Amino acid sequence: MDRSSARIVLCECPGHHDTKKVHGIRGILAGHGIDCQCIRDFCSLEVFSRFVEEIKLKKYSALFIVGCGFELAGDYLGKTLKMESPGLDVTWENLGASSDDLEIAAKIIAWYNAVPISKSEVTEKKHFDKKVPRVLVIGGGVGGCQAALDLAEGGHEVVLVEKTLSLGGNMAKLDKTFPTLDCSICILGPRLVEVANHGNIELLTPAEVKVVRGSPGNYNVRVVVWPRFVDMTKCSGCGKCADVCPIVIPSEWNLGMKPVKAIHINFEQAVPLRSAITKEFCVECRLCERVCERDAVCLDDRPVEQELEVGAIVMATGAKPFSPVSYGAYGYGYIPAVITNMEFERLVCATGPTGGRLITPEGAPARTIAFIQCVGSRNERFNRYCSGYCCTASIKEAILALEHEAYGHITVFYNDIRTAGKGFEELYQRAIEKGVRFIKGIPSRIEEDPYTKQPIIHYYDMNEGKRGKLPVDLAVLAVGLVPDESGIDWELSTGPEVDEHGFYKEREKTLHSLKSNLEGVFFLGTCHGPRDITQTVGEASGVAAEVQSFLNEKEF
Amino acid sequence: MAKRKKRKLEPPGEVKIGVYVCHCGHNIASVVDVERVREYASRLPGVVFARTNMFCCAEPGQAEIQEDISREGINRVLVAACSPRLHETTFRNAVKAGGLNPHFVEMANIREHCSWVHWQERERATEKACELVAMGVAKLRNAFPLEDRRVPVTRRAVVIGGGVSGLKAAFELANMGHPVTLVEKESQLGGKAVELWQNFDNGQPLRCLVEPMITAVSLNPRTRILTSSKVLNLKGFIGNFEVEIRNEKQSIVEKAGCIIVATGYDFFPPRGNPRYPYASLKRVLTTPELESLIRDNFEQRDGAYNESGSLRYSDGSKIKTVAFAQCVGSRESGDSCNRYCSRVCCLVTIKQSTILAKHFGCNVVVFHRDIRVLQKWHEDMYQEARRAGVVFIRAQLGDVRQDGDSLFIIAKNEVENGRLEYHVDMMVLSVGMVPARDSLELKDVLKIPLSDDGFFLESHPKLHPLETSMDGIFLAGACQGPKDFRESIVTGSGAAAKAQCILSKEELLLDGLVASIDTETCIGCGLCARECPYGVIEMVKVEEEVKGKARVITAACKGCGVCAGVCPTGAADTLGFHEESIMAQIEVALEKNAGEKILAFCCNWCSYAGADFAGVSRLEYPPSLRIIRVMCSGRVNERFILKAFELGAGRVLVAGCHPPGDCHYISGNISFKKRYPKIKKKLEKKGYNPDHFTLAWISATEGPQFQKLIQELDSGLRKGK
Repeated sequence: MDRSSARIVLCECPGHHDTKKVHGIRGILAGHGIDCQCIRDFCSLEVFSRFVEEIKLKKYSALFIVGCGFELAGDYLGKTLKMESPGLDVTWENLGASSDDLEIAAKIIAWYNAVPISKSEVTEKKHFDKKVPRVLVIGGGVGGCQAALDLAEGGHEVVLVEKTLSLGGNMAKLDKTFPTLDCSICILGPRLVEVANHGNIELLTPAEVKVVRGSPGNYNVRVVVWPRFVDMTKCSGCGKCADVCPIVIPSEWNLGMKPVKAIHINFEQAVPLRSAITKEFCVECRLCERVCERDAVCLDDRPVEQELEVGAIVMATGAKPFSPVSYGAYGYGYIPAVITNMEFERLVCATGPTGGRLITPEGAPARTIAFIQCVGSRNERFNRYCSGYCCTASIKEAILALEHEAYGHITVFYNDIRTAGKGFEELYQRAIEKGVRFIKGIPSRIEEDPYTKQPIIHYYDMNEGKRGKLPVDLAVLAVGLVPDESGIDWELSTGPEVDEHGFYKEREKTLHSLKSNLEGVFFLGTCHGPRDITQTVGEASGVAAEVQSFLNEKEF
Repeated sequence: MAKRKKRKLEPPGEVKIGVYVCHCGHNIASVVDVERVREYASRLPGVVFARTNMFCCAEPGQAEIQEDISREGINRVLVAACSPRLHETTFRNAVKAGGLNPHFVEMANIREHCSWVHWQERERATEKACELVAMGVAKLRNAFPLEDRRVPVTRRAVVIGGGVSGLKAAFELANMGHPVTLVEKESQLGGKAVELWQNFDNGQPLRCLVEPMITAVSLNPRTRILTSSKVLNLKGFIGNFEVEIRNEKQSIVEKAGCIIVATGYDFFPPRGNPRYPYASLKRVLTTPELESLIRDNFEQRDGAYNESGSLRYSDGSKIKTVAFAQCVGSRESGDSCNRYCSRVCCLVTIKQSTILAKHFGCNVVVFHRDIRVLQKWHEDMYQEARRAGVVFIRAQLGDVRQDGDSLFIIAKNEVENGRLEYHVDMMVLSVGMVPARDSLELKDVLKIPLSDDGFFLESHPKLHPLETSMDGIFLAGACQGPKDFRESIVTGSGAAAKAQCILSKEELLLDGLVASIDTETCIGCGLCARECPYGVIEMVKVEEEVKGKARVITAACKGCGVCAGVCPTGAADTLGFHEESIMAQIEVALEKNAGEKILAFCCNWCSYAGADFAGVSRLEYPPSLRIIRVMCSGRVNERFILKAFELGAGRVLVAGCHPPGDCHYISGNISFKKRYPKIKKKLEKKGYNPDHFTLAWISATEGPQFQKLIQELDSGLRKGK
C-alpha cells in the first residue's frame, strides 16, 4: 500500500476512552515507525468537518480509526466519509474499557504493513454492487404485516412468509388489547386483508424459509410452501367441506379447547380465508372433494420449493408462550382449572370454545379467579428476564373477567406490577377501583381440592406478612415469552447471533437495536426479546426505514 | 329571504343497470329462491337485465360482468351476494378493468344479512332479498361517478425537534434520498442526550451516541438545519404542507409532504411542588443533576473507570451514603403530579446507584414501589445493582429533615409495615417525564390532539402508534409518551418509514368518498366546522354574507359524513353516501308493510361488521330488519329518521361503534349521541313514539349482541301492535 496515503486516527475522548490507553497505543506504534494522530472529540461536528476537509485535500485512500468502533460512531460517520470521499477504505476498531492496547496496536501494524492497494479497490467494488430491491419478511404476525405494509408503501417488493395457515400471529388469538380494551381481531383483521391485497406484497402461506445463502444485498433464499390440500385459487371459503367431514380434531388455533373438522378454515377472520386439511388426521374419504362445488380439494398436493432473490431479510418470527408444564408446583396439565393466560383469552373471546362464557372445566361459572404473575419469568430456574407484557395483560384480563362476572372475586399475585406504558398505569388504577385485589407475593404451589376439584393457591402475603390459602374457580398463569425456533439453515459464515436467552442479539443495544450482526438482516418484535404489540408495531415501521436506508445506500 | 334550492346532483346519462344474483354455491341458493330474485330484479326501473351466477366473485363471474359492460352497454352493476366489506373492492376493480367508474358498483348483502340469518324462513328471506336488491338498485340510480383524489406530493419532510429521535428520523430520511428540514428550538442539536451523561442500555456515554448523529445529519447535503427556531404556523394537508418557521433572524416558509414531531419531554420539576417539600433542601438532587455530578467526578479522574475514589459533592465534601426516592412526580393522583408511570426512572436509578456503589464505594438505599424494568437485559442490570450492594426497599417516604450536613429520612416499609430511619449524605429524587413545555403551543399550531396525560395522542395505541389523527403528521420519541433512548431511536426510524410511504410517491391517491358543501344552501351556521372530527371544514368569508360559508378541505377529508349528519339544511353532503341515495333506499325499504319493519342505519366499521359477524356465526334473527350502510353513525341526519317515521317505519335503529374510543373517525359516534335526545324530542313533537327510535353500540365482534338487539326490537314491534 502507498503508505503516504494511509492514515491512522486515535480518538481521545475524555470521559469515555482511557486517555492513558490511547497514548499507550501511540507509543507502541511510534516504536514500529508508524505515525498516527490523536484527535480529541473526533465525532463532534467541528472536529470531524475539519478532518473531512483534510482528507479530501490530501487525497487519503485508507483510514484506520480507533475510537467508539463501528457500532457507535462508525455507522454514522462512515456513511458521511463515503459520501465525501467515495474511494476511501475505512477500518474501525473499538477502544472499549476492556480492550487490550497491545492487541489493537498489533492490528494496526498488520493493517499498515500488509494491505496492498488492490484490496481497497476490491472492497470499493463490492460495496457498489447492486442490491436486490426486494425484501423478505419472515413471520406474518402483527409486526411482520406492519413491516411488509410500510415497505410495500415505500415502493419495495415484499415477500411475506408465514408458517401457519393464516396471518395474524398471537395477536389474532387475543380477545381484547390493553389499555383500551379494543377487540383484537377487529382492529387486526382489516390490516391483514390490506396485506393480502397489496400489489407489492407476495404472500406465501403456509411456508417456511429453509436456507439462506449469498451476501448482504443479494441473499438467495429457499422457501418451502407446505401443501394445504385445497387449491387457493379455487376455494371460496364457504365452509361446506367442513360440514361433511367426518373427522373431528382439536383446534390448534383454539389451543386444543374447541373441536374442528380435519378440513376447516383456521378461524372466521383468517387471511387468506381458505380451507385446509390437517393431513395427519385425514382418512381420505373424499367426502369434501365430492361436496366442493369448485373442485378445490386436491388430496395429492405436495410441498413446493421456491428460490427467492432478496436484498434484505426482516426476521419477525415472534416468540412463543412459556409452557408451564415444567413448572410442576402449579399443577398445570393435571389440575384442569389451572390454565394459561392465552387459554383465558380464548375462553372469554366470543369466538372461543365457550362462545365467550367464562366457565370452569366443570361447566360452572367462574366467579373467583386468581392470576399468578411471573410464571417462567424473573426466575433463575427458567428465564431470568422479565417478559414485560404479562402484568398489563393480567390486569386487562382481570377487568374482562369482571365484565363477564360482575360480582366475581379477582386476585392478582405479583412480584412487581410493571405497568410502564402509555395508559397502562391508568388501567392498573381502574382495576383497583373495580375491586381487583393485588397481593404482593408469588404463590409457592397450587393443589387440587379432592372434593370440589378447585385449585387451592398457597401464598405468602408480603405486605401483611402472613401465609394464606385461596380456593379459586380458575387459576390463570401469566406465562412469559420464550424464544421460538426459526429452523433456518444459514449457509453463510455465520447466522444471526442469539443471546444467552436464545433471543436474537442486537448489533448494539441502543443505536442499532433492530439490526443483526449480519449486514442486511434485521429484527423486529418478540423474536429479539419480549415486548408488547405497540412496541412491535413501532419497531416494524422502524425496520422498514432501516431496510430502505440500507437498500438505498448504493446511491452514495 | 327566499328559500334557496339546493343544486341537485344529477346522475349523468341514461341509467342501465345490470343485476347479478349470486348463488354462492348453496350458501345463498339453499335459502333464497335466487330465480325469483332475478325475475323481480329484472322488472325494477333502470334495470336492463338480471342474471344469476354460481360464484360472481370467481374469475368467470368477473369476466361476465366485464363482457356485459362492453357488449350490453350497461353502466351500473349491482351484485347481490355477500357483504360489501368482503368483496366490494373485488368488484370495484373488476368494473374498473371493464371501463366503468368503480363507484358504479353496489352490493346487496343477501348472504350475511339474509340467507345465513334467516335459514328457517325461506319465503320471508326471499322477500327480503328482493327488497335488498331493490334498495341497491335505488341507490345505484342515484349514484354518480366519484373521482379518486390525486394529490401531488412535495417530496420534503420537516422534522420538529433535534433530539435523538428527530436526528434519527432526519438521518434515515436523508439516507433514503429525501430532503429534510430539521427544526430545533435550542441553539444546538442533540436534545436531552447532550445534557445527560451515560446511557443505561449499553453503558456508553450519550455524547458518543449523539455526536456522530449530529455530525452525520449536519454534513448530509440533503438536510437543512434550523436551530433556535420554532414552528409558528401550519397550512395545507397531507403531501402539501406549508410550515412557517421563525428564528431570531428570519421567517421561512418550508413546503413539505409530511411532518415528523419529535419534541421530546422535560423532567418533572419537584422543587416548589407541595407534595415534595424536601426537594429544596440542601443535598437533595434530582436524577439529571446527579448525572452531571457523576460526570464531573469522572472527568476529574480523566475517564479512568477502574480507579476508585469517593464521590465529591459540588462543594467538595465527600458523599458516603445516598438514598434514592422513586416515582417522584409519577404514579400519583392529584393535580400537582402525574398519574402515569414514566417508564425509565427505575432504570436511571439502577444505573446511577450501581455506579455509586461500584465506582465510588457509596452505601445506597432505594425507596421504591415497583421496580419496572422491561427489556431482556434490564433484569440482569437490576440484579447487578443488588449484587453491588444497593438496597432496594418497597417503602413510602414519610418525612425528610435537614440534619446539619446530612439528611434524616423516615419511611414506612410496605413489606410487613415497619418504620425505617436513615441518615444519609445525599438524597436523589428520581424524577419522571412530563410533556415538553411547548407541546401545548405546538398542538394548536399543528391541530393534533393531546391525550389525557398531556403527551401527543397517537392515532391508535396499538396499531398506529406513530401516526396522529392528522394524515401526514407523525410522532417520534418521547413526545408521544415516556420512552428511553433506544425506543426513541426506534420510533425515530419508524416515523421515517411512515414519511417514506408518502414521500416515495409522486402523487397520492385518495378515494373520492368526501364531503361536499353546497354554497347555495349553506347558511353559515358553522355546525359542520365545529363537529368535524378532523377540523377540515373552514368558514370562509363571502362578500355579501354575514356569516360566511363552510368549505371542505377536500384532500384532508376522510369522508365520515358527520358534517352531513349535523347540517340543518342539507348543504353538507357526502359523495358516495349522499342524501338522495339514502332517501331513495329508505323509500324502497319501507315501500311495503312499513309498520312491520325495523330500519337500521349501521356504521361500516363496527355495527355493519357486527351484523356480518352475526351472519358468519349463523345467528338467527327476525327478517323484518333492513340495514342501510353508512360510513359512520355520525353521518345519520335527523331527516332520515323523520322520513322513515313519515313512511310508517315500525322501528328505527342507529347503530355505531362503542363510545368513546372505537369510532373509526375519532368522535363521529359521540356526535350522533349528542343529537340523539334532540331527535327523540322532535319525534315526540311530531306525534311519533320516541321509544320506537333506538340508538345502540355494536362492535364488529358483537354478533350475539346484534342478534339479541334485533330480537328485542322485533318482539317489541309485535307486542306494540
